[in-house]
Amino acid sequence: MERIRITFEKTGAMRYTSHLDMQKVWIRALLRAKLPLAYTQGFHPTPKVAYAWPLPLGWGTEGELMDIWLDNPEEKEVKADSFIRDVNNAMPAGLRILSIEKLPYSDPALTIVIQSAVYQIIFPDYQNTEDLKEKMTELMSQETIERERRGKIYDMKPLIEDWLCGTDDNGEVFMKVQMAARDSAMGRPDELAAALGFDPFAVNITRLKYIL
Amino acid sequence: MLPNEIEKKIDTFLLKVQKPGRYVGGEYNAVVKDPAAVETRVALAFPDIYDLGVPNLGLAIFYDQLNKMPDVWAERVYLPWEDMEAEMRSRGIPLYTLESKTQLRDMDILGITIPYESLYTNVLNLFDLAQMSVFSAERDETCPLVIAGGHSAYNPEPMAPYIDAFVIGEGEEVFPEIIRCYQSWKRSKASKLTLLESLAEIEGVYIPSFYEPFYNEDGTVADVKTINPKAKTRIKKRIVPVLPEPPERFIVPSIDVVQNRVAVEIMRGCSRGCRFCQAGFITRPVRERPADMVINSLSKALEDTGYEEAALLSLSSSDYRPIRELVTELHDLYQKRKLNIALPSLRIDTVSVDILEQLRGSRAGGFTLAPEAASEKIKKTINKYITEEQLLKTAEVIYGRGWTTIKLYFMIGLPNETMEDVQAIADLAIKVIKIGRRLVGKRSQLNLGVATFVPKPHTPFQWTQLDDPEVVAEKQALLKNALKTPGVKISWSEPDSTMFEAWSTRGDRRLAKVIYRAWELGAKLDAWADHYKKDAWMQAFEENNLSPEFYVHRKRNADEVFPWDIIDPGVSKKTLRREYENSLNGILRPDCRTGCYGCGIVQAFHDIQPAEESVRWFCPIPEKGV
Repeated sequence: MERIRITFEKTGAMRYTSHLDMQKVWIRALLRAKLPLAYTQGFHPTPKVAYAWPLPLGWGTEGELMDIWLDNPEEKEVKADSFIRDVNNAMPAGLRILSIEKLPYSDPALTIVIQSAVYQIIFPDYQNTEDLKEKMTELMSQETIERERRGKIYDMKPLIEDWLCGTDDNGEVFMKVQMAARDSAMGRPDELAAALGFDPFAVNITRLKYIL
Repeated sequence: MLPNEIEKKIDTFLLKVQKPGRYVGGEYNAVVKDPAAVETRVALAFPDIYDLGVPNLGLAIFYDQLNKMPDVWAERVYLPWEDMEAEMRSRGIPLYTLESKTQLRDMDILGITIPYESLYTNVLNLFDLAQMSVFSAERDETCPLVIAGGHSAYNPEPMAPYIDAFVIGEGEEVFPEIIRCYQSWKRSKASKLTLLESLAEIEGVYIPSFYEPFYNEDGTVADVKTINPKAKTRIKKRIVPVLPEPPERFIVPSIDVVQNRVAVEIMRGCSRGCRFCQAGFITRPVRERPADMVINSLSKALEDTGYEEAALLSLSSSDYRPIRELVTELHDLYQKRKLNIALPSLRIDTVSVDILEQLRGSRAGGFTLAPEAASEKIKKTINKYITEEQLLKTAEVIYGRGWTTIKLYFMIGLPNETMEDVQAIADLAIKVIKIGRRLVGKRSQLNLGVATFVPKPHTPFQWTQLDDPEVVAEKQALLKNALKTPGVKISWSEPDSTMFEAWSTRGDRRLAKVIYRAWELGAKLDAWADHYKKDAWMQAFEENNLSPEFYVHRKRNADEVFPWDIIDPGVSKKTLRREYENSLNGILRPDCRTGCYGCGIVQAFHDIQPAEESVRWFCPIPEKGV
């Protein structure tokens, strides 16, 4: 059995497919690409696939990770070029593999090795980079940043590891923020946007990469 | 509004609506072409939400077929759910195609499938959301040509003012003909009337604006006059003499929809002649697809989609001659891949149990059978005769082979039905659950689906009326009281939806005003039980001086002119009347493959009836000159 880590992007229309629906999308695409998927044991065998942290509905990603296991005969080596080409040809619009790497079969799971994630937040119809910087500096100068998630109060401040603001080529104001992405400490950029006084549904969020 | 504007605007609020994946397109196998490189843009519409529209096989067939034409681009459109509709209306965003986000107004042809009547108000809503007039007469040359088809088109009259052209019957040959006709009209820059006149010459196309109905004092149709020289007196349905290859490409949605599967029609038409069944009469003659064609196209489609489920569709699967070979081969091919294969409409016999046992993938599920009637008399009335012995033997084998749930479909409200006939359903159900208890113990389950019979156009029962709601309630109560047995569950059809179906399916052109008014008063998504607005419909009837009673609870005279008589389904009205009389006299008519009764199909289609053995129908081939 061979384990392969896939780095992929999910953009455009695909952002509106939920994490749950994504699992079907992936399995079907991998089956269409005729990959020799390894199956789980048990009464209802399913292809052995492991995802990183769920991406909330509507967010894009440019560096998402997932692991798949293949039942490859020894002599048939996985070639990155043809693998990426075959799978990308079988994918719906907006879903695309960027790179793959082989991994020892029993390396720890993605959700264990991932430490942080970098997000980009774009603020439509908002022009003032300096104002954004000020707001963020002001927020970070507080001793704690108390926010509510699912009815529980938590401190957002330790989840924010790094940030910067700017204006992109289209003249749109953005913020890049690195947040903790561990089981016990999961930063949410939409909650940060809300803390800065923006409508969390109206900002445009992309997960740029994970830090392992 | 331009496509990029629409795309940008919806992106600002999609997260506020449920299942935004319904509104963005981009699915695997969605076809995107260069608009500048095609001559004709077609929007294929299913007038309900995405979740129901994507699995629709009719639209999948046309999407595949039309997109194979290099100069045509067919895109899809579905109705938004209420939350999305409100967002679109408040921002003035018009209904758009999923592939290119083009507003419907800018398309050349809008093709709407209307498989059932509860979609009528949705069709009006679709026009309105597309920022077009709902009335055909108010849409000029700058609007797309609106064509509609599907089983409900066999009585097109209730939707006559809204549709430019109806396609009656099977569209595989007609649709390309309509497109060619449209293309030469567009090049000629002539008027819309000219377009409709040339469409009227295509076999199977009905232009409602070329006809005017006249009524008797009692409200029945006196006559239908043609008011355009191009109008035919009757519109004969179109059929394909030989079933073509099934579609190769199926849209694979990126969100969950009601049926996630590849569907292949194995056979079209039915020779059983069950007198309540509209599909059985309007889809004749029986045509089979060869088993190797079914297997090839299914395998290709499964590889191309990655789906885990397939369905083999027909009105009577057990009558498909190579059914055993087909099932055995599919079993051998896919037993490793854990494919679930659905095979509905099997006959009630032990062979069906063998077949389904072979197909039983990883999911066992229940076993569904449709005896429809329990008493001797009613079995003969409806011409679906399954002996009690045969049914009980089948139930015994089903429970015996490990299924724990049997679902049986019955109908009540059939012509001449008495309380004894309904009691017979209860008695039969008790016999079945006793078998279940004996063989699988307390886990055994019997689900009864008891539908109220609705008389449909182009069937022998078109002369009969819907049963009175009070009587139906009594019959339901009888079953409820007689079946308090553990393990038996009953489900009913809602009296309101039964009434609704009865007037919409048998409506005349005057009903169009009722549909319009009901829609104005907020009726839409009528197929969704919690959305059905009874008050709006009642008010609409009243304001138009019409009564549901007239359409629903009136027995028709033998010589009554029906609003749908303008449509010729091939089976003659004389045949239907004879079958109605047979039903009243308890005369059975076995499968017409064992002997032709001369229903009219052969006479109607002798010019296209194939003679080759491999593709021939089950109908006798008339001698030349007949």
